[in-house]
This record gives sequence, C-alpha cells and structure tokens, in this order.
Amino acid sequence: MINLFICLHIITFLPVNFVYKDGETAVSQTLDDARKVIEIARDYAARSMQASYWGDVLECEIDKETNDWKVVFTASPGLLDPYYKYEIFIDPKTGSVKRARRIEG
Amino acid sequence: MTFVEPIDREERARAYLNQSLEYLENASKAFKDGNPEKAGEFLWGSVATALKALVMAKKGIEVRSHSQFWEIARELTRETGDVSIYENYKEANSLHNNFYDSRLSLDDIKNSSKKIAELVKKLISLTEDALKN
Repeated sequence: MINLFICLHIITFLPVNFVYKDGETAVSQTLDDARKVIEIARDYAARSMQASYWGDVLECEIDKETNDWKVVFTASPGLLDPYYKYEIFIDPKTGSVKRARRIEG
Repeated sequence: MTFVEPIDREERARAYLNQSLEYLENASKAFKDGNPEKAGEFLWGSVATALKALVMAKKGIEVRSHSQFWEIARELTRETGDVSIYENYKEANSLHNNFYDSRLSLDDIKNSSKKIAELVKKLISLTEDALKN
C-alpha cells in the first residue's frame, strides 16, 4: 500500500517535458517551425509580393483567432524604395500561404 | 551579399563615395600622364565604388561580386527609367576589360570618360539623397 502511494506520488510530481522521437523538445520544435515559417514568408515575399529586399522580422507567432502562423516583417520592393511593413498568414499544417498583404506605405 | 547594420551604413557609404571621387581624380591624372588604359581602369573603379556606396546607403548590402554590379545597374535603370545608367555602366565595364586587353583608342576612352563621369555624378546624387533620409 505504501509502495503504491510512493509510485503514485512520483508519477504525479514527475517533471513534464515532452520529448519527441528524435530527441527534440516541444520548444525546439516550435522554434524550428518558426524558422521554416520565416523562410516561407521570405520566399513568398520575393516571388509573389515583389518585395525582394528582406529587412527584418517584427513578429512571428501563432495567431490566436485563426491558429495560423502570422509573420510580420519589413521588406522593400526595389533598390531605391524604402522598407514597408508586410504580414503573411501561413497554414501550420500545410505550410501554404493563406493571406498576405502590405500593411503600410 | 553581406548585410550591414543600419548604424554602420552611413560611414561605409561615405567611405565608398570618397573613394569613388578619388578614382575619378586619378583617372584625370592618368589621362594627363598619357596612360589612357590606367585612366579607364580608374573610371571603372569610380563607377564600381559609387554603386557600392548607393547599395550600402539604401539597403546596407555589401556588393562583393562583379555579376552583382550588372544586376544593380539593370535594376537602377528599371527603377529610374533612365536608360543612360545601363548604357554608361556598360561603357565603364568595357574600359575595365580594356585595361587587360587594350583595344580601344584614346578617343574611345575619352568619349566614354565623359559619359562615365555623368554616371558617377548621378550615383553620388542618389546616394546623398539616401543618406539624407
């Protein structure tokens, strides 16, 4: 009875740290996903939004309303153009771009 | 291409501008000294560093390869609509080639030098505008 109690106690207070098969944790998986999402955004900006000069990433997070990845970044369409702010929403399952637009400028 | 932080861009762009003007002066001296091939190479250097200054001032990018200069010259022409930029860039490039394989006459080089000096002025003006903003 005492042994059972100790086992239950250990299980209850075992530190929770999910580790994937390849040794990655949930946090490193999320960071990895974020990097991939930024790569997708960068590629899409250059190919489909004529924003070929990449500036900086301002936000990269899961949007609470849509559950899509939301990337806000600055980029510039031309050598002589200034940097504008853009946002792109990316489906977390397929990696496809769902919405993209220039926010300002 | 190497990306430079905004805080360092102005200093680097100004250093390239000064270098570009120095090359232009050296070209003039080389003409006087009867060395047109060398003058042509200085003119090319002046254009190349002026382009470096502009790209640094506008985008913080360090231009590293010869092929990038061609891309930039094409892009500038497209964006400004000024076809003389690309034409005069090509003249500068031909003077660069002439330094290694001397085929152009003194008159050819002198005619090109006027156009190239105009191009350098335009590039410097664009860079100065970028540094003001």
